[in-house]
Order: sequence, then C-alpha cells, then structure tokens
Amino acid sequence: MENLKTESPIAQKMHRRKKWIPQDLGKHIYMWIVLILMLMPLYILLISSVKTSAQVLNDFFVPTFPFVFSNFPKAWEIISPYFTTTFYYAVLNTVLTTLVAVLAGYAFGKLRFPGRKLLFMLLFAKMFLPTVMNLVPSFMLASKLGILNTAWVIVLFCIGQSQPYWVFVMKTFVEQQPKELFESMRLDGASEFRIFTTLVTPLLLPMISLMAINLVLFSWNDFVWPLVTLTEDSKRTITVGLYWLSKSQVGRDYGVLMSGYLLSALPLVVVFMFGMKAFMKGLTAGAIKI
Amino acid sequence: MKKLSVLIKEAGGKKGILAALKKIGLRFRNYILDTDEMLPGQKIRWKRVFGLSSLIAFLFALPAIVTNVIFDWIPMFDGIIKAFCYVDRSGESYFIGLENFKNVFTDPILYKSIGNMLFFFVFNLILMFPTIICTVVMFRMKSAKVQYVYRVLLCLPMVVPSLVFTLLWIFVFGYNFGVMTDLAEKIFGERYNFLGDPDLIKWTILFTGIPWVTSNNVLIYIGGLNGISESVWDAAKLDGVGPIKKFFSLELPLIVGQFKLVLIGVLGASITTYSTQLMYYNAAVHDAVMTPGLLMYFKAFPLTTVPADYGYSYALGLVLFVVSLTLSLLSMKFVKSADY
Repeated sequence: MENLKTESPIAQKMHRRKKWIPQDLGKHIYMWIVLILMLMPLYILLISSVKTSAQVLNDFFVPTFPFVFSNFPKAWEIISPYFTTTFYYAVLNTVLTTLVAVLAGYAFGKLRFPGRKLLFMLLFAKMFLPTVMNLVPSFMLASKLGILNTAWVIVLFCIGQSQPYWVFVMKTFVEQQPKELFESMRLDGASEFRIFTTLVTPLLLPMISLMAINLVLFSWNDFVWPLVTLTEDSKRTITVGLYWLSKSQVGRDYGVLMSGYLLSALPLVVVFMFGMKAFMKGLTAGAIKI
Repeated sequence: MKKLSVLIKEAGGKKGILAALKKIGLRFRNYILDTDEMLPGQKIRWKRVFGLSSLIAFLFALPAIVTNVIFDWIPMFDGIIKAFCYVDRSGESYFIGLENFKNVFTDPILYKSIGNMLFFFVFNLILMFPTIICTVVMFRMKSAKVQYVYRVLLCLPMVVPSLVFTLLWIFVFGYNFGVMTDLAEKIFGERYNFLGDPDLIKWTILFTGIPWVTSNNVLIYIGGLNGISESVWDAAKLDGVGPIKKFFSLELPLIVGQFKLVLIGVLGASITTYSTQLMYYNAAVHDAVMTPGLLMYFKAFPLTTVPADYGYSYALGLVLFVVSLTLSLLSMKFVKSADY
C-alpha cells in the first residue's frame, strides 16, 4: 500500500512490465503443470518419430539415441498421396470459400439491390440451425450429383456451409468502414469490380487472413464428411488416411507411424508461423461477443 | 379479447385501417426493393433500383446464396421430408408416415445411447471450468510479455490435427499392449483394458482431454478480460479483495458473456457430435460409446455388411435436429434475458 502511494504512475507501469515477479511463482508453477500436460502428446510425437518400433514400445516416455531419421522418408512414402490431395482440397476450399464470402459480405454490407435484406436473412437464419441432420441428406445429394470421390464433394459443401457465418462476419466488418471511401472511388468513375479489388480486399485483409487460417485448419482437421464421401484410397484426406492406417496397426513399424503423424502437422506449423498473430488477435479482439 | 368492431374504431375507422395497411405495404415494398424510407409524394427511382449497379451487386452476392441454398438449405429440407419416407440406397423414397420414428423409439440401443450422451453432456459442462481457471490465473500474471508467451505455448498443440492426438491416445492406451496398460499393471498390479472394457471406455475418453484446457476458449475469455479498464483491477487491489473473492465478484461476472457463448457451443456439441466416439469405437464397447449421433451415423454408414437403414437415420437426424434447436433457442433466450 505504501509503495503504491509513493510510486509515480510511470513507475507503476514500469513495475507491470517487469519480466519476473516473485509473487507470481505459484501461478507459474500452475501454468507449467497445465502446459506440460498439454504439450505431452506433442513431446511424445516428437521423440517417437525418431525411434525404432521396439524403442517406441519399451522406452515410451524418454528419448532414445541415436535418432532414427530414416523413419521420415519411409513415412512420407506412405502418407504423401494423402498429403498432396488434402493440400489440394485445402487450397481450393480456402481460396474459393473466402472469395465467395468476401464478395457477398461487400454486397450485403455496402451495396444495394432488390431483395438484399431478404436474401441476407436467408443466410443469417442458417447460422442458428443445427447441422447435425445434414450428414445423410448431403451424402444423398452428393451421390445424386455424381460427385462422390471427387474434390467437388469437399469444396462445394465447404463453400455452401461456410457462408452464413463468414458472410455475417464480413458484412459486419464492411459496414464499419467509412462510407466516404467507397463513395469517393465511385465518383471517380471506378467500376464496382475495381473498387472490390483495390479497396475492399485490402481493407478486409485482417478478416480475410483470419478466415483463411480457419479454413485451412478446418480442411486439415475435417474427418466425418471426407470419411464417408471419399471411399477411394487415392482420394482420401490426411485425417481419413491416417485413421485407416491406424486401424491396420498390427505388424506396422510404430516409429514410422509416429513420424507419419508428425509429418501430417507440417502445413499447420507453416500456417501458424505466418498467421498465429492474426488468429490470436481475431479471437482476443473481443469481436466474439453477444 | 376485444371485438373486431372496437378494434376498428380504435384504429380510426376503416380509413385508419387502410392507412395502416398502406404503411405496412410501403414498408414491405421498401424492404424488398431495398430503398430508403420515402417522404410522401416521393417517387421510386426505378433506374437505381433495377439499374446496372444493382445487377452487379446482386451478382456479387449470388455465389454465396446459390451454394448455400443447394448445399445447406436443400439437405436440411430433404432431411425433414425424408424422415417420413422409406429411403433406399439409390435415394428413391416413398411416404410411410411415422414408421421410421416408431423404429427409432422402439430400439433399445437408443435409450442406452441417450444415457451415454448424458454422461458426456454432464462432464463436458463440468470440464468447462479448468479452461476458465487457467485463463484467470494467466490473466492475473502481472507481466504482459509473460502472458503472451504462455498464450502462444497454449496454442502450440493446435498445429497437430486433433485426430492425430486421438490416434496417439488410442496407441498409448492400446487394446492389450499399450504403454498405459503396462504402467497400470506396475502401479495397481492389474491389467486394465482401457479401450475394450465397456465400464472404462467413457472414462478413458474423458481422460484423454487432460488437462481439459481449450486453447480457443482461453483466447475468447482473455478477450473479455482485456476489455476491462485497468482502474477496476487497481480498485480491487486497494480494497484488498482476496483472490477467490476476486474471481467470483470480478472476473467471472466480466466474462459471463463469453461464458454463455461457449456454453451454447458445448451444449450443442454434446448432443450432436460423435466423431470422438467414432474414433474410439470398437465392437467390444458398442453399447458403452454409442451416442444418438453415432447411431444416426452407423445406420447410414454401417461398419459391417449390415444393410444401411436410411429411413432410421433420417428420422433420428430429425429428432436430434429438433432437440438441439430447442435447446439452443432456450439458451439464447436465457442469454438475452440475463443482464450483464
């Protein structure tokens, strides 16, 4: 109490910025326990990916030497088909879904056309309807359209089902931008298309990157829908491929299996290196409020 | 109820009603044509309403609408209609009334699956709290830099597909040779079949969530806590509020909005998602991991050569839809009515 009174506001701020504060020791211990538990699977994956099968079974919790780096090329050989197909789906999903949502978000947010409010309600209402029932009817629809076992079954359904939420997010963000920006460009005689590419897209960049990260994460993690729609082995996504690999585990080289698991994380590591800040900012910005 | 004639009189006679109807009609027209509120006598600029710029704007919105209608709305309506139909493999269907629902509700496994669902439901609610506690502890750390480092570390597991972690856990618990089985034998002197024992499987699934901290939700809660001005915390400090009292009187009320949002998600997910149960599924624990969502899945996509029963799946899907819609409407009402 005494300290607080004598310290100037600047000194107090400096105090807050100090890296290590003794009273926080208990909190640090608690956080480390949480973190160790959370990062344990990651640690196990890392050390197991460079072990032989016997080492994985006998010395599960400790690293063994020398590292068996030859696991990686072997694992890559098994998972690379899944890896490339998923990569292809993820790129298509991300680019097309984002483009469609941003176009619509701009149209609903700053342009006018007959039926605008009604059509927006059509999308908006879907946000509150549960999607649990969609699985079997969607499968039937895909089967009727003859797109099972193609990229379209993943991409088209991803585009369609992502729109309600993301159009809403984009529209809200577009509406927050000052009207004058758009008006002045329009007065200069710029076409809507030009306004979209030179003004809207750069303005929305933070939201676009947030959306893209989420879509990549979704594409790489999606499980049940690709499991039922991609039955040909060559069309499978990484999650489905790994799932079937793990089912036929007996007699497999566990070290190779673990390095396969680890390699599957590679694209997400890259995405997070570039997009971590945007992702965390998006969630902590307080944008998510009712 | 008032008599109609009285109502008409109150509205200012027939003229009044006509005027009111006209006003509603105009409002509706403006809503559809997307024009501003007009002054009396002002005319619609039809050239603007149906001009080129409107067309372009409409074309901008069109891909989103079309894909959403075809791949989201149509399956939903198809799901509602076909629940009352017999559906075969090729998608051919004919009306059979409530037959599918009768099959669903007379199936003994449904009631077992509801029991399992309630188990996960209750524990998912309880296990929301470790995340909140972790957030608050992290938030109370004085240094912003340290906080940031912890936040990044918490997000680290997100780089691995969640399915991989599940597969890893399945490997760790193993069917009879897993590392945990050996460890348990050393400690308790008994071999447990964590994945194959119907009494253990649900607890095993819960355990794999350790430490039950969801990185996404930590970030959402932190967003709520960061929105509060510094002076509130300083005032609490000066008043000498203890750490536990501070949690209940300051931090928890401050994140109540975020908490409700997460709660709605958890409620919906507990009732409808089944991908985790699907991954842990094996024939030995059939009754113990079956949830209504998984039952719906298996009826349409059976593991064995049993023929699929699409009608059953459609009907159960509709039931789940109605239940989770009701629950989310109720929880939304509860969110709106409470003031914070």
